[in-house]
Amino acid sequence: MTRRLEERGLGTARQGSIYPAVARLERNGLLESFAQAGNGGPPRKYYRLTDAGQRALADWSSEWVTARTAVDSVLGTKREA
Amino acid sequence: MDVGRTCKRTWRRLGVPRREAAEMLAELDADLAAAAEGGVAPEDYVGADPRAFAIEWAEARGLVRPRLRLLSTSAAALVGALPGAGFALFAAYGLSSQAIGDVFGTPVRVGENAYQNYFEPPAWLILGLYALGALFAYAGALASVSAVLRWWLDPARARTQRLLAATLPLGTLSAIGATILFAWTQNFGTTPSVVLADAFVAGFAFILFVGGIRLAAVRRRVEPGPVTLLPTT
Repeated sequence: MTRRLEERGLGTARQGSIYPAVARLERNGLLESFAQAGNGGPPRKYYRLTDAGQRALADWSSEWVTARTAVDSVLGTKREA
Repeated sequence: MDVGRTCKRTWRRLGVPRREAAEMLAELDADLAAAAEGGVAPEDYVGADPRAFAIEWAEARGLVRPRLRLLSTSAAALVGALPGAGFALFAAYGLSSQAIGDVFGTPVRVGENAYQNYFEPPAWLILGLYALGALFAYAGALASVSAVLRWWLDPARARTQRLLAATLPLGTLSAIGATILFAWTQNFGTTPSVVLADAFVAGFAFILFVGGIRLAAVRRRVEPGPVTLLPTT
């Protein structure tokens, strides 16, 4: 997860801080976890969005777009589609 | 630094159930092994303070619930207060003892050609030593409770400390009041059994009060924090 953030230029999150963040999301019912066998190693734990998580993501995305549009219009910056 | 061992020890002290602790440890071990393959050291992965990481993770999973620990909290407060109380007892009885009189006293005639040294402590000295004893007892009780709850990484430690700091004088007065009341029913007797019973009543009333304060501190619901990602630096 942190690798993907880093690849997109958001590499400021410490890897260890993912655990509490994911735990809170799971506790709030937005994520669910499942174990999957690794390549010869111990099974790894994976996470996926629940239905509630999908809805929350859609809400947060919408809020983000609204906020970004508002900031863009205040700053007068253009955004590529 | 063995990150896994530190986390395991921290979760045990926090009272995280064994099954959840083992599950978290397995997840962390697998991820640390994968990170090591990518050249990332464990301390770079979880941060410089693995204990803080372990606490934060367990809290986020809702596995950290303050235990009552009524007995250990109350016993810690009582044991911590004892040196101060002993100091005050010395002010009450020790200053007028023969041993002190021999050193600091002045000769008083007690018979024909017989003199004995007596020390009559001034009121300001006795009151000052009482106050000092009370201060020692207060600070000792707070420090002792803090040490015990810190060892258990107790999530309600700060609140317990704050409540105790504010109410301990009241608790002490209550214990003294209960003891005076009991002593009154015994006609303020000074036989060893009555004095022992007095001490028991005082200690029991004090323990009861501290236990009540601890209960109030733990009962308060702690809301989980927001979802945050800590920066790498």
